[in-house]
Amino acid sequence: MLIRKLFRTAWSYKAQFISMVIMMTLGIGVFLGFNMEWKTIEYDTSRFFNDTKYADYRLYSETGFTKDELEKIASIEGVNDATRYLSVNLDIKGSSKKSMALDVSENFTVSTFTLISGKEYDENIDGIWLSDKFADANNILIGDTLTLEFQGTEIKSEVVGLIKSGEHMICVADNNQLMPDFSSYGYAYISPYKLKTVLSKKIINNIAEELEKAGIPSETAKKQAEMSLTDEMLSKATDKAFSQINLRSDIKKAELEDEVSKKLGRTLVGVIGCMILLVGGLEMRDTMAGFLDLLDNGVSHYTTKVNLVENTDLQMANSIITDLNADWESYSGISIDGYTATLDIVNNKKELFSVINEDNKPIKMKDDGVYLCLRLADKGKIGEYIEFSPYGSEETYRVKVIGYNRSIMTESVTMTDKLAEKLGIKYSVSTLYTKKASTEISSSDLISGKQDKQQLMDSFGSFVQIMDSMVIILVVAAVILGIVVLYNLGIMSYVERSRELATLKVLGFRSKKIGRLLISQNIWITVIGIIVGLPAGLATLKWLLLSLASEYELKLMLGVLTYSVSILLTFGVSLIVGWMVARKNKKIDMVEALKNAE
Amino acid sequence: MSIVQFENVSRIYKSGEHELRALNGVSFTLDEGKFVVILGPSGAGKSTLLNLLGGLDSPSEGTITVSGMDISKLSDNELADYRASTVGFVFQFYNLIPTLTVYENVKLVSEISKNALDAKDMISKVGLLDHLSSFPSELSGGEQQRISIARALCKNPKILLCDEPTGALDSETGVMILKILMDMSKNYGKTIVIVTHNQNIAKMADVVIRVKNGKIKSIDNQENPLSADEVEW
Repeated sequence: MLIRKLFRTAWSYKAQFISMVIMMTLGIGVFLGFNMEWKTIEYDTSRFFNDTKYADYRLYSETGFTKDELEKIASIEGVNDATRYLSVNLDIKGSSKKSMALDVSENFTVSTFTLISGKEYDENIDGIWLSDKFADANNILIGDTLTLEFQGTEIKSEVVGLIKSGEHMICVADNNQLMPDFSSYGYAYISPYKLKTVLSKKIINNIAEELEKAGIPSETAKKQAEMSLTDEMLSKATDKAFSQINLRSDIKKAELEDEVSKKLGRTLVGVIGCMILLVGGLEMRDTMAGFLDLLDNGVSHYTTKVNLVENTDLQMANSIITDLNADWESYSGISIDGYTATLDIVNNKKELFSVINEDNKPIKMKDDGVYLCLRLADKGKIGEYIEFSPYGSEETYRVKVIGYNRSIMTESVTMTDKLAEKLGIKYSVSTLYTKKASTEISSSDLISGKQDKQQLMDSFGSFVQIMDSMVIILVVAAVILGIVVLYNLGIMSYVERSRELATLKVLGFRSKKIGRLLISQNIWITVIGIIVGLPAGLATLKWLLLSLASEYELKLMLGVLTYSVSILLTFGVSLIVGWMVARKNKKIDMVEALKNAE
Repeated sequence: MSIVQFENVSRIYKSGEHELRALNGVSFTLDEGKFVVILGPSGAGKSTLLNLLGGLDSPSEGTITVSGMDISKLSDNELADYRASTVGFVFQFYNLIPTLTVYENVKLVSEISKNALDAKDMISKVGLLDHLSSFPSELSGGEQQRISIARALCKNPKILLCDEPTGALDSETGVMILKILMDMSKNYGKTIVIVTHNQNIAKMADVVIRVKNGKIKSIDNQENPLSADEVEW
């Protein structure tokens, strides 16, 4: 009998019942859905990292690592596995706009890959294992031949397998690229055997070149060069090439998992209401669009960005800088009281890129101190001195903080090249910025890669597309949620007040007038909701940006359109619901409503 | 002069194949300024009769004429205007708006009535001028009913319809309410129609209509009705 009562009650309150089902569906579908996605990503990522033996530590050396050094590091307590590792950016021959990271894991015990199709990894074969997504985006099949250019030397290999690698889970060319774009940038692995072949070829080419310069005919020079290649030469070149040692260690893993959990905890942001969802969602898009605009027009005035190979000092780079009429930057790792940051040495006299302040305005950089990015603002107030030490150097430098800048990507301390020279800091030039198109820039041993600004902006475009879809989901969810919640509240207040409304009708008020009263009440509630919801939306996004996007110093931006759309949508929802409830008022049974005793 | 005329009025409620005749072919006439009591046991059809006269419901058959206007075929809006201008209601449970003060509850009707009387004057007539700013919840049952009478009269209606107006009150308060209603009938020439099952109230009436099983059982004109004080409660 009670079950029957339950069903009849559910039927009597079907509107509320259906609303609750919709709210639960939305709650689970949208919010838990997003959360589950994170959980899934967490699970998949940790499994993927495990399968591909993702490195916990990476050690870098400008002069490379010898086998002895590797053994010493591998014997440290707590180190489970270690390998010499090489990852270098190369251009793809025949396509000026495509490049990739070419990796070699010498022992293949750390930083490996999972095979999607093709041949299993073999350290003694000549082929290349290519990222499956890059292959897909560029219509490359197993059996095709790929030709890469490594400092003037060609690396020709048959694609023997398609793979995924943890080391390149977020496959971007450099810090400035936010989203992977597999149509222009990918990654591949070759075996140590293939690396040796390439290095041999390069050494022979270099010797032959020197001999030719000395007047020996090309053919003879090549033969002599081949004969003069020794194991020692090859071993030294290999040591130098392996500029990384990648380690796997349990200690780091635990810390890493902690970090991942922390990040996920922050994503459990509660639902704060229709208005907050609308403002938050649309505002996020505005902020991103503003960020891209800033990147495109406020910071980057160049056409092509040219990355130089490691250890290119200013003297070596000078001829290219002159040739390209370029501005340049140098990035290197530094420690500020144990905190790792980037030292950014800047020469932007031609204004091909800008260093910007908190208000996104270009800074005219001075030579008497450094600029801290906003995230490092707590390291020193303006006028105070900070000390930093470059990694790989015993030197410590003391510099005055003269301002703060908004750093788009890296957590950096920025100074002019003049100050760097005055302080005696040894640096290498990392990146050049030029107005020349990438096709006009001839290849050089010093150039490790080129990137069009347009290409970079396009890669951001795909990120914005993803964000657009998320914003649409949020806005649709907000509107449905708004309708359901307001309709339910409207119906509840209508049921509670039906006696009062019936009294008004009995007194002689027309249904239309009572309907207008109900709608105007809804409008007042909406106005209050908007007044509270707008700042709450702003605060939510601010918090979201701080929690989730602390890697980017995004400035919160809110367009007039966002304000208008949020307000209009909320008003629209409120009016529709008010109208739906007001329509019910027409059908009120005065006699029945008044019959019920208090 | 007759103000109300029921001609062969029936109200039929249908539920599936079942048919319930709450009123069945009722005909009667009421004169202006009379104090009328409709008597009958529960389910006799007296409230249905009052609802039809008040324009809260429409008859299934027959015609109802009030002040020369046939109200049986009026649209919803026309019925609302009729309720606003011609009839006033007093209910057993007062039905005041809880979020409005005493004064606002009475003044409210001036928004819809063209001939509304002064709200304060009406409140004064029911003796509650000291409670203008009070909310209904701060008043006793009797006081609430007096406010409900003031609200009904403020519209300056021709007919005052009262559904068990003393039903929720003790006898002393009930007498006071009936006195007020009788005064209004005498002093303002209003036609008062009271629906009740209390036989004693009938002794005060100029006309007593007895209803049973949806039909008029009798209509009695009383030459010398008693005052509220004279009736034994």
